[in-house]
Amino acid sequence: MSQVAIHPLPYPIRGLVWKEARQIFPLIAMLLGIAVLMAILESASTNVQTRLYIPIAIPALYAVGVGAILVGHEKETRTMQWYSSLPIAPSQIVMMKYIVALLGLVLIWVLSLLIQQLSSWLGATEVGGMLSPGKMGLAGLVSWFLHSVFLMCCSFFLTWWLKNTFAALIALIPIAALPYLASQLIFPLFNGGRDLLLEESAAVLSLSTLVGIVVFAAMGYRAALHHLSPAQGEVSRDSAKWLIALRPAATGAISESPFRWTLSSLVWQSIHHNPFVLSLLSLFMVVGTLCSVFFYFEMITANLQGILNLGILGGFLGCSWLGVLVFNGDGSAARMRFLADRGVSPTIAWLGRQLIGLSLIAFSILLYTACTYWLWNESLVGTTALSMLTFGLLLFAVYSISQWVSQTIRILAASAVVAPLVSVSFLVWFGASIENAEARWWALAICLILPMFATWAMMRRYMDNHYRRHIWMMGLIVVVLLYALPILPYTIEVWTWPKISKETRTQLMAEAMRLPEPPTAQKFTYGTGGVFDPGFDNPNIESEAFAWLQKQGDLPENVFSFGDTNIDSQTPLENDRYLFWFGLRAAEYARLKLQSNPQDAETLNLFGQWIRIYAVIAKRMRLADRWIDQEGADTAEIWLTAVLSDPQMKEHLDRDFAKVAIEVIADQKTRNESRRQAVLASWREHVALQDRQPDIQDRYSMGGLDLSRIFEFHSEPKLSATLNHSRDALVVLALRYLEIGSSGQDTEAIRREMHNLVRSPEIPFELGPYSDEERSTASLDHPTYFHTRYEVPASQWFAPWETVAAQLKFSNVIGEN
Amino acid sequence: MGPTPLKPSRHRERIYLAIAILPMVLVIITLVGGVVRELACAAEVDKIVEELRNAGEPTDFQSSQLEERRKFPVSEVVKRVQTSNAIEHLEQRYANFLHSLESESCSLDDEAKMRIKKEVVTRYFDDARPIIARSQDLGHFGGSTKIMESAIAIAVQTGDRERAMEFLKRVGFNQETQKWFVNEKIWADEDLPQLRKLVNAGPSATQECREQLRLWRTNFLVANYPARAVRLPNWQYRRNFSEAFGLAPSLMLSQLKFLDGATKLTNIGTVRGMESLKALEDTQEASLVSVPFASHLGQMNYGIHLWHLAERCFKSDMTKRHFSTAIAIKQFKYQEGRWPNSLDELTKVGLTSADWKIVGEQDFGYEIQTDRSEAILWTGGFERLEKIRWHDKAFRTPTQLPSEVYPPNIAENLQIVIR
Repeated sequence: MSQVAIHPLPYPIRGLVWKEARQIFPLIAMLLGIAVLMAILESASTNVQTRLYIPIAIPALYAVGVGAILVGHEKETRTMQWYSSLPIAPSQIVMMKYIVALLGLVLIWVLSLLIQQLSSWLGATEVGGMLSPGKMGLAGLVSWFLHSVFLMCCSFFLTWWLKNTFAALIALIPIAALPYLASQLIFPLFNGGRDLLLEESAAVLSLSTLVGIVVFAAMGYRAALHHLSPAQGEVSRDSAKWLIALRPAATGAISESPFRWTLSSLVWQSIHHNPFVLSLLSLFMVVGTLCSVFFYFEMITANLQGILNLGILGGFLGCSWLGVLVFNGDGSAARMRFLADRGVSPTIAWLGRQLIGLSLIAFSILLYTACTYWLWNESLVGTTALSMLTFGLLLFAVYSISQWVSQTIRILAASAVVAPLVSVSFLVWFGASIENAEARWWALAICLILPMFATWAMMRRYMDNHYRRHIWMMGLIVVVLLYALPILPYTIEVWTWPKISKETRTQLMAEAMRLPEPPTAQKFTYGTGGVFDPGFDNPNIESEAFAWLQKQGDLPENVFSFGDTNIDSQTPLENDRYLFWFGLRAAEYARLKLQSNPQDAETLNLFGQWIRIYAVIAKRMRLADRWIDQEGADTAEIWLTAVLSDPQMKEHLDRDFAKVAIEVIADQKTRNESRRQAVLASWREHVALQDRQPDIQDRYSMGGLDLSRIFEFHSEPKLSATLNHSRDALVVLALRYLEIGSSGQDTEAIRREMHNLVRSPEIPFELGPYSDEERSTASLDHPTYFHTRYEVPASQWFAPWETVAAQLKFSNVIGEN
Repeated sequence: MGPTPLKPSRHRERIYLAIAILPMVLVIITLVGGVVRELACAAEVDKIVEELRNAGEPTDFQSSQLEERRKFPVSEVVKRVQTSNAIEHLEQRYANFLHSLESESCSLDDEAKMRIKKEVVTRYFDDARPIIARSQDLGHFGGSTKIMESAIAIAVQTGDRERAMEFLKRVGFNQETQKWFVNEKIWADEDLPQLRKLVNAGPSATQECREQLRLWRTNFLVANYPARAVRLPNWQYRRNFSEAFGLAPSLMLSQLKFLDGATKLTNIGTVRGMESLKALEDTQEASLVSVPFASHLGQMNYGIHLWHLAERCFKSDMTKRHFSTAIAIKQFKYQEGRWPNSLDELTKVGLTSADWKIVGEQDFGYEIQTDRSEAILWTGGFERLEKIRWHDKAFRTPTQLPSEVYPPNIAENLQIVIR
């Protein structure tokens, strides 16, 4: 009595609930397992977005499969007959199955949403994905949930109603679209000629789905009761044939061995055991292939895109289920045992099971090739169409993976639901590997053949029905290899990427941490030149225009401003690429003016101001601790060296502006110290920044240098994976370069190392930015040329201009004495 | 229950096996055929590349870089940069100022605009004197088109013919500048033949087109031919998904042949040239569809780019003839004291019939105003060409004046009024 009080369900029902729940557990576990795997693996890539569909796809697949498992599988294993023998009302059995399935559906919805959230936590770009309120809203969520309930009801109805589970699954595809078709018919009644809002469409869709749920649940219930009722006698069903029992046994001339080869028998068996299912799958494949061809025709695609997409999806499912049909679906496991008992070779049996599927794939490939060949015309110009090989490989990949799934998962319904999901998951993975991990063609070829090899290797055990543990072990190996092989060479390359030793790193960090923090750097701002604004209907525009023209000048303050212009200023200056550049252009103009009129005092004064201002800029940029500021200071000093070493300037070298500038450019010690300090400080800051997970722009910026430009010949994912190692290598090389250069040794060897680090191997050193030609005194003809070389750091360190600068001071001192 | 086709029997055995095996055999035969073809194409591509290499053409990244360096040595580049920097400094100031005067919100009338432009041009040339002096050594000084156009306008209005011609040499002719040469009456008899010579001496569209095709071929080879080993910068390295493992040799051969064929076209800027181009494109299309290993890559198809290039040649050539014929009409007027009754009369000033045709097809439209004060020369609308293919026969000189058919802004570009 107490038991009854605790458990509201009678004992036999509780037992059945437990049994049903155990039956659907593998399906739930497999679907969620795949979803988790997809979410984790794809979260590393910003390009792959299939995880966003997880909350929609996983419950829908469960809904499709649950009927096939709870009903179809039981019909196949004949446990349904055992149900009929129990003292439980058929209505209770049916309701119990519905309730267990519904609870499972709710559970899988909750878990799917959690998995998607997990994916977004792991780094997905779109938090919430397809089901985010911004995208779909509550109405959308409800409509998707109702649709999964609808699919579940349809799945129950079809599996109760039809004898063959596979046929039920196939029939489910067109029925699944019924609520959409119905809502398309209903829309015009509501919208009054306008487009419906997303929420309104979802509400109408939910309404039609709700009607569908009621109808199919009732039909399913009726079909179930009919199935669980006692069967009618054969004779009474067809009383006209009552004499059939008296008919003598057939004695037709049936050959004892109708076929010479076992292989032909197996082919015959594959075709004739379930011709209806095979025909439907073939039809799906043909339609999918034709839709793939017509997909390239812009005219058709524009009008019928939805139908073409549906056709391609059908083709994909057809291909996947062809694979499932190899080891599942028509009691083939039992038939295999029959063959094993008669000593048929596992290889022959394996080949015999595969031939029809492969033949259909080959036929689809031929159809695709023929259609693309004959239908190709001008309308395809500008499109990218798959080659015969690519199309064939896609089909083969889906088939190969699906047949492996069907051997691994014995339950037809489960493998029929899981196989398409696994196939698409691996296809996405292979695509992502090509895109992001430089997957090699041979690795992908092995991946395509591997599932076929696995099923062949397991064939003997499969035929003997002693395979469960081994086949799951093989499954695990295949999964690991399919995931690992495409990315293996890339992973090895990234893993073995040259790194600096721990000691070096610790030593560098200790030195970097000892560096003093410089004062906050000042920024450039625009000068007084300004831009002319005509205004709107301005009556004084003419006088203002003339006034503006009068105001224009070529002085430094017309171009930019950066606060204190005193040479002794101790405030660091931050490089501004554009204003720095505008200033150099104006300074070059002043230089040309002086060259054409060397005796003009006013021009000399103008040019003197530019020399002085760039001396201040160079000196103040040396005080800054960003690497790019040192590059800017180099450019300023190269320009100063160029103009002051110009023979025309010789007579002006004793002027104040020249003396100030020469002091700055000849100070090699300060230059080297500032460079070293800036390199270390930039590195320290970047290391600290990486720990804080910066956004993409900051991630590649080290001391103002754009690391993505410096290492531009690496693919983006590889650069991302090796960024810190490449950065460390650059810093260590730069510091060694400074040491070698400061000690007066030849720098060619270290420049070659720099070249190899930052340039593509196809660019020879002699043509690269560290070559002698790029660093020759020709650079002094016009140093602003090197302004464009910021993306190649240290290219002008210890170049001949530094010697010229030192000589300038020496000559000046001699001259003074 | 009679026997059905489903029944197994020995004589049907072959049919069942054929159903299972034949499609696979056909696919394998096609793929093996494809491999053979790819190998043959690869050999042919190698041969073409070898020939190009022997002819001194750049075919890989290194040789293309070397050629670039040969063309523009560092020392030369820096000299050019030196003057262009100073020019940019001035032009940023003056050209931007002139642009601001053209804005819709600017309430200046034409006379006031001209006064300001005159001041700008005076100041600009005053400021640019040292640059011009330097650039004459280097042999290049273009200057801002905007400033030069204003300079031409001012030179013409002040009757400074020589200066106007000098500026035309620098800036070339366009819709803005040509009106100063055919609308104004300041020109002397001897100026007009000189002006025509100047117009005809402009850059050859066909030559430019060939240079561009050569560059495309080099870039194509650099990006694809040595792709097995090359690691190029990101933007080149990141391949399209469809060509993840490099371009199939058959596709490469097809592209190379297409580019080679296009380079050999002598009349690319003409209607006949367009027809040849279309035929070449069709051949390429046909060669692509039968390739089992190569995706049909739209972005690799140079046909579209080539059409644009040919269109540019076509327009450039037609504009040149249009302007040259307009000057010849003015020259005829100066010489004979009247407008020519038809374009055929222009032979008297040294033109041939080919000069007044829309590139090999029809004559330009020509009409003398009833008061005989001006003549109008017009051509077909370029914008029509966006809608029709160049080789279509639909491209014709309109029989009516463009100003009667098109809105004023379009008509202005199609017709030249000669005074």
